[in-house]
Amino acid sequence: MDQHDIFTAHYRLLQRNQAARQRLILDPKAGLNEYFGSGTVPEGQFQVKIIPQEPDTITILLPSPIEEDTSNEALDAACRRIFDILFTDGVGGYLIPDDSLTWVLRDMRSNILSHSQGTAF
Amino acid sequence: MNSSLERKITELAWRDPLFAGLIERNPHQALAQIGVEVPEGVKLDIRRQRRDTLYYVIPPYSEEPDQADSVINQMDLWQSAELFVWIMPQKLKVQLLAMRQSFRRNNP
Repeated sequence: MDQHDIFTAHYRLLQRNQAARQRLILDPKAGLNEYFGSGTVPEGQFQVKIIPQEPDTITILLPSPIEEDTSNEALDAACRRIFDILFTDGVGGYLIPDDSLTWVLRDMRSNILSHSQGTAF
Repeated sequence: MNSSLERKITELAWRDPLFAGLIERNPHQALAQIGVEVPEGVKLDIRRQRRDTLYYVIPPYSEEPDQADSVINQMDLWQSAELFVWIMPQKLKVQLLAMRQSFRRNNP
């Protein structure tokens, strides 16, 4: 399989296989390691949460204050930028709230691509 | 001052611990408290982003046969903690409009 299709294949599995979907939702790190290979998710003090799109559900991801600054200025800044993700068949991907997680995601994808070398999915 | 629905929800979620707990536990009740009427049949999933958490958005479950040529769009949203993010099926746009209108009507 083309490496670029590795991630698409995972989304397709999650669209069709309710058991795999539930395992990922209940334990995202274990679910990612199960599908993409052991050690896919790097070690570290961070969490992974799943946002499952549903045909009857509106999801809101609220902003998070910087260093607990909840002043009017901070609120105005956080709410000045509103992002709408409207999907038809579905969209997949990550929200990365903080710069500190940038390399966590990049390392994870590198691990996936490394695992895929010569591996049939 | 920004008087939008997004500003009101965020303000209360940041400053009022009772509201912050309620909106994750029972979002319909929390929104009703601020004058938002949620159309029947619409479910809500509202979370305050944590800065130590990656959020993996996955497409909906589908019982329709797989179409090999269908496209699953992919996105990454960096620095999302500084954004108010809505995720919803396109067909619920009208329901969101109704929610916004009720907030405006009930908070003149």
